[in-house]
Amino acid sequence: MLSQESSSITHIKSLTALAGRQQDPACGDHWEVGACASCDRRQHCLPGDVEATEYAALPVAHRRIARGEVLVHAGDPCTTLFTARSGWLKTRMHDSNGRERILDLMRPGDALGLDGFADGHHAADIVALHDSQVCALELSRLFNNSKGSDRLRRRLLRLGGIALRRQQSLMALRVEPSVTRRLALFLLQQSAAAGELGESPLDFRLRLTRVEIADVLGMSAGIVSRDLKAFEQRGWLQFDRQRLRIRDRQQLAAAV
Amino acid sequence: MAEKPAHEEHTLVRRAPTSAAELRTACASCKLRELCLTGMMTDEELAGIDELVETRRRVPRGEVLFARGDTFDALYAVRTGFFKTRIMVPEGRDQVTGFQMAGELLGLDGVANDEHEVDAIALEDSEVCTIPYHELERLARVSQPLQRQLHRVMSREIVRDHGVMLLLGGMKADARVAALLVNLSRRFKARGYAADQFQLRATREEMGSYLGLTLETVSRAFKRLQDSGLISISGRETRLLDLPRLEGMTAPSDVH
Repeated sequence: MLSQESSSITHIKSLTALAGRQQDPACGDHWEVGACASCDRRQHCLPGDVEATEYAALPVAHRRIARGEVLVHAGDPCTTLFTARSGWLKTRMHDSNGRERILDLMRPGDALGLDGFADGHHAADIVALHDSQVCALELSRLFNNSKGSDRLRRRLLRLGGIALRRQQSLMALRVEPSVTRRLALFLLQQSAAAGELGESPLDFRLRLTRVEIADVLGMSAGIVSRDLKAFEQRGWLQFDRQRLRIRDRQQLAAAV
Repeated sequence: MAEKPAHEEHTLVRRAPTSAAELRTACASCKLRELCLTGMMTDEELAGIDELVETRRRVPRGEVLFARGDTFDALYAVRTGFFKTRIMVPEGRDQVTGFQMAGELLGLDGVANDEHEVDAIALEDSEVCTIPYHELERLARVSQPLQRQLHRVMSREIVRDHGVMLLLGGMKADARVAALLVNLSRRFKARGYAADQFQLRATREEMGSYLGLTLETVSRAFKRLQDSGLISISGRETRLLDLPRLEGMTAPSDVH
């Protein structure tokens, strides 16, 4: 037990070193030891349907991350599997004009930064959109542990599949030529995602500003505001203080 | 309205695999392996998985290799030919999510849910290797390189999608079309084909769907590229007359 504990500490030290580039006084960049088994998000996260005994030995660290804080920088070596425990994070890159482009949105249970598996280095930044919590597991350990567990191995691959699916549905949004349709589709997608996480699909937190929504969808913030206002005036929805209430899902769906 | 469009150009014909016509082949002896699933694996590592045998299958032009909703039980490596994948946006219409050529994998969309999310359709007479996923998983148990390779392949797909997201976020129509042509050109070149002359198997409508442009916009963009002497087209034969300038166009401009 002792050896396991000390290796957890080494693990956390190495994680702290990795993430220590962006020290945030509010969060203190402080990793704590945790356990998947006691996490209420586990079914949506790495453990999924894996038996607790198969991941019990995996040391997990978690920490808070403040809005705007960078968890991973493009170019960082990818040695850790990060997952979102609470809050909301984004994957972003800057285009050649220096403008930020949001490539992905990650909610609790989502794996972060799987783009780094391709060549061992992260291709994009991961930034907290809100005060959030993230978990970290050492990849080499995860792979070693998964040798003995078919379910864990399958689950790991599945996390990649889920990330890919999420990416593709965002991509499909971006290619919708009508920006109004694009926005309506996005809101419906977020509604479905909220439902999957146990929130009401008709009344949920959409913790994005209009500018962020615009960035995700590749449209201007002005048009997002205009269309949201039009949707509100027609009585289809209400978007206030980052809470979206869908009043008339049918009409909203018909708009796409 | 949210109606599923008729599949006018590609009829949903699926061919039951006929065993007599099928060949069995191994990755170790395949000349595409560098580009394909087993790329980045050494001979030694490959020797460990020489049981990984796939079944080759011909897919005539217009045939659906797999359709959304189909049970996911295999990955497909394109040996020859050209495919498109398309997704149905919730409440929306079909959107092309990618074009795949020799050495590229189809089917990763099924990993998340054991069910395919996209349709894969041959745009020319093609041949694929069917790689049973359960067999892959079984082999990943004993071969960590293979397990890691599977993650890498999935990650590579995510990185590719990031690229498309960047492209769709910041480029005007001509630049998007140029970016697709440059991208195809690079992929053909990596396969030993001419970089500046190839058969464009996708229709303008399909390219438009992929790039988030209407058919008219794509056609106008093609015309402008032709008028500027950057490309020439006769039938499906596309020539890139000034590759450096086409590449130069693909730096994102600040639209919106």
